[in-house]
Amino acid sequence: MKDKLHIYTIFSVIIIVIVIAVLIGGILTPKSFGDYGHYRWKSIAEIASKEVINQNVEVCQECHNNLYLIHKKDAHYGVPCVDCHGPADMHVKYYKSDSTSKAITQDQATLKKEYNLEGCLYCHRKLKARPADFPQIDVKEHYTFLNVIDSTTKCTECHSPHEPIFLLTEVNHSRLHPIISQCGDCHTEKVDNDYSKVPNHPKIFECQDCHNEIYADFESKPHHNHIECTSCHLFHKQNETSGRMYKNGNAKFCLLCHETKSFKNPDYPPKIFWPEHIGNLKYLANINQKICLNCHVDKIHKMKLDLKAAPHTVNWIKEHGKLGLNASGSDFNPTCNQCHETNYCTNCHQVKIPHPNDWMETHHSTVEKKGKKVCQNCHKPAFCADCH
Amino acid sequence: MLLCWLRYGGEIMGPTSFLFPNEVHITWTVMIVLYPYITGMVAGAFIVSSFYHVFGMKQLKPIARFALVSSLAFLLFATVPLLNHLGKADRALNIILTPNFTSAMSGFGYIYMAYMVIVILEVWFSYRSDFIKKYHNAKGTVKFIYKILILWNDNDNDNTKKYDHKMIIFLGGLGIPVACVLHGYVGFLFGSIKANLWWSTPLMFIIFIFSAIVSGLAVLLWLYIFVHWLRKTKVNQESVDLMSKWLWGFMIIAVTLELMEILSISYERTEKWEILSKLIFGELRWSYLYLQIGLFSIGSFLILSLTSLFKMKTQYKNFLIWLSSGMLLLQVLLMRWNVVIGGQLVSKSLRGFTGYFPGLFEKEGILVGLIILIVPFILLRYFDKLFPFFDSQKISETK
Amino acid sequence: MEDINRKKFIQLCMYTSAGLFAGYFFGFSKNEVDVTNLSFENLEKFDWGYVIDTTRCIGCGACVRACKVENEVKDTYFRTWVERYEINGKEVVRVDSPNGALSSFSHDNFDSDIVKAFFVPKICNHCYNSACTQVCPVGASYHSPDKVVLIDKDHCVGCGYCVQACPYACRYIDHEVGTADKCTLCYHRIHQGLEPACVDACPREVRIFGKYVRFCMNADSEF
Repeated sequence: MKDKLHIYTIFSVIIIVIVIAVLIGGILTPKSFGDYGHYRWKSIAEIASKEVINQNVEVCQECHNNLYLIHKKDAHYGVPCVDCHGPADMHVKYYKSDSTSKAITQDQATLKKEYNLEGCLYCHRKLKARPADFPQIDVKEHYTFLNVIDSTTKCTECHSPHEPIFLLTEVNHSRLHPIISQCGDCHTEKVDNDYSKVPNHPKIFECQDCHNEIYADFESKPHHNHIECTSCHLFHKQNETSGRMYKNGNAKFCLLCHETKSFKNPDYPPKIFWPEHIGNLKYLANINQKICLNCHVDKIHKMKLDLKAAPHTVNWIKEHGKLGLNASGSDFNPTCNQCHETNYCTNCHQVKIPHPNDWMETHHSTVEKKGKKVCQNCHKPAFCADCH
Repeated sequence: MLLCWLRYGGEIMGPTSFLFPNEVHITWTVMIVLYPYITGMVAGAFIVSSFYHVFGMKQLKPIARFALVSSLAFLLFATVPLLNHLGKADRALNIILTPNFTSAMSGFGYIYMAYMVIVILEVWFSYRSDFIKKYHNAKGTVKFIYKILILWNDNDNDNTKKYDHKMIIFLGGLGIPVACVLHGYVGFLFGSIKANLWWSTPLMFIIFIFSAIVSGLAVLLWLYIFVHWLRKTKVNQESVDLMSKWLWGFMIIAVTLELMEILSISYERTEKWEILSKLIFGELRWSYLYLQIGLFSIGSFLILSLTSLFKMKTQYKNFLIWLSSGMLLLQVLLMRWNVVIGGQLVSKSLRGFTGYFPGLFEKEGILVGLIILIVPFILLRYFDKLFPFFDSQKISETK
Repeated sequence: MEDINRKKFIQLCMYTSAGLFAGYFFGFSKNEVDVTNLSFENLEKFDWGYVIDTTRCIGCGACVRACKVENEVKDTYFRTWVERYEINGKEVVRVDSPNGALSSFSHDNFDSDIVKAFFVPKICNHCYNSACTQVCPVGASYHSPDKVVLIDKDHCVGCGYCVQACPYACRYIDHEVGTADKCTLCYHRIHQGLEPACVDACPREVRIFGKYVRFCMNADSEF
């Protein structure tokens, strides 16, 4: 027995050490471990209570509702604010003006706003892997097509990020249209052949199949050789059989090609300066209306412009200036008066008709301010010559 | 070194190579190569020691205590590479506090401690008589230390020796499966990771154990011959002969298993062969084909065949055995490298490779690795003073 | 790989959503839960569904950028990423993911002859029988009661076993903290009635998320 003592001793030592270790282990084990599974239950609350950084659209809308409504209506409606403006958590905290705002500087609160060319290209660069119906551009081709001569031109020179294609109606409410196919929907390579020359080619529905009259008219007009139907009538494929048609008739859209800008080729297409182009009627220069079409519809194709044409010609806005100039002498009696009140003209023209009684004296200062041509809006030059 | 010749991904696959974004840096570094290497030597050395204590192979008596103490020395350092590798080593105790037993790695804490207890106990029982003698001869603080070591019990007679002997046999027998689990679980861990196609095989556990025995035998032989050569003492030729024959035998089995694994994958031609063939013949060409298999396996096989089958002058024989043990030590190290690092070089997409070079002075770099490898040997040198295990007579000639 | 249930579910949803808006089909709805009321019983009632419609993905990388910011993901690691597959006429497949598509893709890979090409966004699949939770030695990787795979970053020791075990390579070791890390399905957002950051950021409704209300598979369905 005595001879076995050392064996008992050492094993007792080991057992005591184990017992102490187990006790210490019980103290060191985290409290909530094993409550609902082999994990620390408290960590769920810890993970769930992390601060949210990326602000979602509803938060932005609370303050920027006007911008939100514009954004919602146009092609970028699916792009959330954070994609371009960053997380905006500092921005929201700063402007909320509560206890958390104090720690934030103006600098931190500033949103990232300037999105350079590269940023737009993250989505819109032309890549073979992107679905063919997604709007994508090859920068060089795009600028060549638009006759832009400065290759560093930012997208935002023409496209507002919130309203990239100035849609007239909200995307989901615009007109449903049967599918119109393009070569790129199936072909990954550029196609040269006219598909009608390829035997057994599947039928592709083109605009002229249904809209033959308009297309025939378009073919005779100057825009035909330079743009296609879908340049102005944007088509957005919604599913395999249909999409939505958007029309772009506002001056804003026409000016994308036709306004003089430093980064554009000055010679082609024909360029104007805006709003100088409409001269004295500058106050009418609302680019969110179809005012270009009022005068230039004959360059595009037959279209229904709600200009109350009959009995006037369709382009009566352009032409009526001549009608008003048949007067000479003191009695300005244009043929407009046959149907319209005298003051009808003042709807557009900022002038009192009939002129105030002291026009003889006051017209000098008017001419000084607005130039001689202001009288010739309505009167022939001979009218001024009566006195001068 | 040979590590510099490891090629980096991309050269072999070319432009169709692909890696998942999170795979650019590998997770298990050279530390995880060293850990199974060290525990392999632990398990191998312990099993050799048990061959004498449990199975009574008398030829191994001279090296039995040496094997046991070597096992202890390496065991004390087995966790160092792991602790170095852990992202949060301060929480290392979590493995013991909250082990998740569905995981092969969770058993590590308990197995390691249990095995440590067994080895320490066996060492204690083996050296108890020596400690008691030293206790009686020592003075002062040293005497006090020895007093603690013998647990205030200096009872030493034939009876106690008999009981000690029985305990050693019991512990040796108990320790064999525990040692197998201690090292085998690493192999099992690798073999059961279905996401890594270089690792995933049921044979991995077996391969690791057999190559562990090889490395255990090799390190014992290598050290034994080397130390005796340094000290100019005579080796026990019977032990050396037996161990070298066993080394030869086990190494044949281990290499055969490894090669059968490769043969099986290449013959079966499942989806993974396409990328694994590029791994073997490309990324790992030098470290696996030329060095591990070519030079160190076939080379040491030939050398050990010579020494085992043919008679030759003892001097040359022992030198060749020493040389081939060293080669086999490197072979086992390379095998760990090729498994651990090689497996992580392959992308889980099966489309490419990443690259790895353990930096020189990094936390898990080459310098640290070398230190971790060398320190157990230094420790063993000092253990020789505390637990003397070479009791051989000096002779005037070497070897 | 062997997570049959999860893979079947994802495949089924992908086919269903091709060309359609799968979210409306399955009747996803937003949850309203008080973040302080995260009891086991409440959480168990949730069953999240996450669908990725790869036919609509344009590879813009908005999801990758949003996730990086929301979860403060360190450089060179990704909780979500987008891969691009390009197949040419000789059936050679080229896969790439430049920096995880953080800055989108800058050019096509093949010069010509691309027959098929598409993007595949990837995240952690939150497998039901996940390999990662099985192999965690300390119980730091686990399934929450609402079946989201989470990592307890105060308990993880950073051994890296889970990173090895994940067949989808969606886990990584965050070297600054020393623990494992991965997509948490924006757990902090979904329990406040928001969508995960990647779902919110996607401009093309590629990623669809919601409470899984109804899963119908009847004899008439074509799958």
